[in-house]
Amino acid sequence: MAAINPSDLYLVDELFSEEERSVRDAVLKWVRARFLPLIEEHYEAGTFPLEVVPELGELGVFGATLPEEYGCAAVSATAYGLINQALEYGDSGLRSFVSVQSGLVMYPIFRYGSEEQRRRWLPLLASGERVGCFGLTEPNHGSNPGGMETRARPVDGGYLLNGAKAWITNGCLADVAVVWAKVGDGDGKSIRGFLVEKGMTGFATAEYRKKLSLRASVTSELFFKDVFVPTENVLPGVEGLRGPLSCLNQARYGIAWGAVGAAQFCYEAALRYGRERTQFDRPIAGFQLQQLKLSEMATALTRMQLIAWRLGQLKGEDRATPVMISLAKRDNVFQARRIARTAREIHGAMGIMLESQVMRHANNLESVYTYEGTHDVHHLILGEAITGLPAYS
Amino acid sequence: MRIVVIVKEVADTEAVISLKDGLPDLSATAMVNNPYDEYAVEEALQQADKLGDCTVTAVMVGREKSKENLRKILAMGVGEAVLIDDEALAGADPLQIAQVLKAAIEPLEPAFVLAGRQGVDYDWGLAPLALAELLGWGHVGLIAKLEITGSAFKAETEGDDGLLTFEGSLPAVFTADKSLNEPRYPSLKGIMQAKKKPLETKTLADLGLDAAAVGGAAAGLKLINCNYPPRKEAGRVIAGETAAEKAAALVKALREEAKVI
Ligand SMILES: Cc1cc2nc3c(=O)[nH]c(=O)nc-3n(C[C@H](O)[C@H](O)[C@H](O)COP(=O)(O)OP(=O)(O)OC[C@H]3O[C@@H](n4cnc5c(N)ncnc54)[C@H](O)[C@@H]3O)c2cc1C
Repeated sequence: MAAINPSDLYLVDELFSEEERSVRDAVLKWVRARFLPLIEEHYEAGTFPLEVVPELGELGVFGATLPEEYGCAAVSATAYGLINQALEYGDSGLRSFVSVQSGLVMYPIFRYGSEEQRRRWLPLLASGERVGCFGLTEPNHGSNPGGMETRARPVDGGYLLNGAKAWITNGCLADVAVVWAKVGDGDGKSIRGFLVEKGMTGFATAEYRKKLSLRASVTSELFFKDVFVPTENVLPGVEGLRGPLSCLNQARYGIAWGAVGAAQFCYEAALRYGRERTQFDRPIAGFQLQQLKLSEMATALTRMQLIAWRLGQLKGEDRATPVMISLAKRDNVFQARRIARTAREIHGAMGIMLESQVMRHANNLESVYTYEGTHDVHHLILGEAITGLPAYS
Repeated sequence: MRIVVIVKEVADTEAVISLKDGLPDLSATAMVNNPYDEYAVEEALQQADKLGDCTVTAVMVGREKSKENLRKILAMGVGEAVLIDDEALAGADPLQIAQVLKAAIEPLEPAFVLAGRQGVDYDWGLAPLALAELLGWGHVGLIAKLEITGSAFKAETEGDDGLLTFEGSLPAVFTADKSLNEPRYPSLKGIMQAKKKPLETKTLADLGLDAAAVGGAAAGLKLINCNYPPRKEAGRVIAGETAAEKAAALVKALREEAKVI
């Protein structure tokens, strides 16, 4: 039998360009050498290893698809996907940090910002000298962001912002928050993006502690009490829910790829453990029940890789629709979550230990399953697309 | 001024290697740049920065598909690369590789040559030494520190009893140990720029070499068989009521079964 690579059964590697593979390999190498040795300690402490941010900037992962003139690497959509895959091989919290900075902060500033806003923020965000966050979800509005209560009242020279945002990744760490709010007494169509800066009067944050998932990622609440935001801090290029939703499309695209990385890590760990651990005088991977599990994991991983690859191609051609991205986010995360849990089972008692890493991934994927549109909501998106009947709104 | 750094590919250190007819089957194994060579690359880049007006050239003996890894070296900041690709080189031994490297490197007239201390595939560490010998240049292996002043060098290595300092004159060949530096990661921008950098491919004929002499068919050192290390047997607990009884049983087992005393 010819030698096989158990993590690439369909030779998906060949479908990427040399450059795309090199980008992935560079990030994966960094993740293995620099990030994995740190993660256990930070996961336990519930902190994000901020010391890696300048290194991530030097690697060039923040806003990697954006043009060079803003300090970015201008890589392809597929390369950006592979970056997310390599990061989430490490930890979903690491990928979240980069997704937020890239897809939810740099992307809207690039796409909807003024040239002045771009020049001011993008190079600093690309190098990691500044951190950003994205405030859409509110305490009373999660799956239904259009119902948001945060409001911006026009005043001389700008707006006064009032309200609160919930579950905001990097909220406490951020130098700049892209906050979405309704203007005046307007409805969903009046939603605008505001660049709220750390230190602005009336702007406060509070960290959620005691999370059981995505522990190596900072999640915060944001509070706005008569925060004056000058007109030059409003994103001029977009109005309505379309603005934040287009950002979510970027981040969801990255998540669809990131899930492949988490799944690959767990599958490889289970395969290794299954071959090494002996019971009844033979490796447990030699038992049919375990082979069924490993075979199912390998099959799911292969499917995930192909979905991500095809989505990358379509995104590169600017043909990836929100429905396609939604499908990939939902199903790849669903499969990754299953793979992570099965990997935990295969590890027996060792599987509940932080050091075996698989339960860390499994726990993280609970957040990934929920954020950026819950699994259920993504079914509704596809449901509407194929039936023409919206189940919500 | 030019610094040449020698690099090669090895099987990914994370990969499980399968054997076919007693030899490693790398057909489905991901290849990476030899980790020790990255210390050599880093040193070359740092020295070039210090010396100024200096080109770093990477030289690799490999195949067409090795270009992907060679470009990763370019992505780290190396200016240009030469790939020596010839079918006849399959199975060539370190001395033959050194002859090939000599033919490729000598015309480049480098101030010095850097290489990793050994390939992590077979851990031989022979080619750079043989290269220095064939060129008639000095050689310091496993360096932990390197200082270049004009045409003189000072190199430190970590010996068992402390630091050893060597002085000599260039040109010379150095092999890098892990303590030499911290290799940089290729940045994404570096990767995007690498494809625009010169990468020249040469055959044995291009180098004026005779495949019959330096090809694998004429290798003096041949790998003929590999085995996986034997599985470790589970340990055995010596039973007994008292410590004295256990000690007696242990001595008996050591003498009669293990036959070590
Ligand atoms: C770790 C973490 C980080 C996050 N980071 C950010 C961030 O950076 N920025 C940001 O803006 N938000 C962020 N979020 C918020 C996230 O996007 C929301 O949690 C998500 O949209 C779901 O909202 P909710 O939690 O209010 O759940 P709800 O909307 O209250 O949903 C509760 C349950 O009801 C189901 N449900 C809701 N509506 C329907 C329906 N119509 N039909 C059927 N079922 C339905 C859901 O699927 C879910 O199972 C983060 C969340 C987490 C956990």
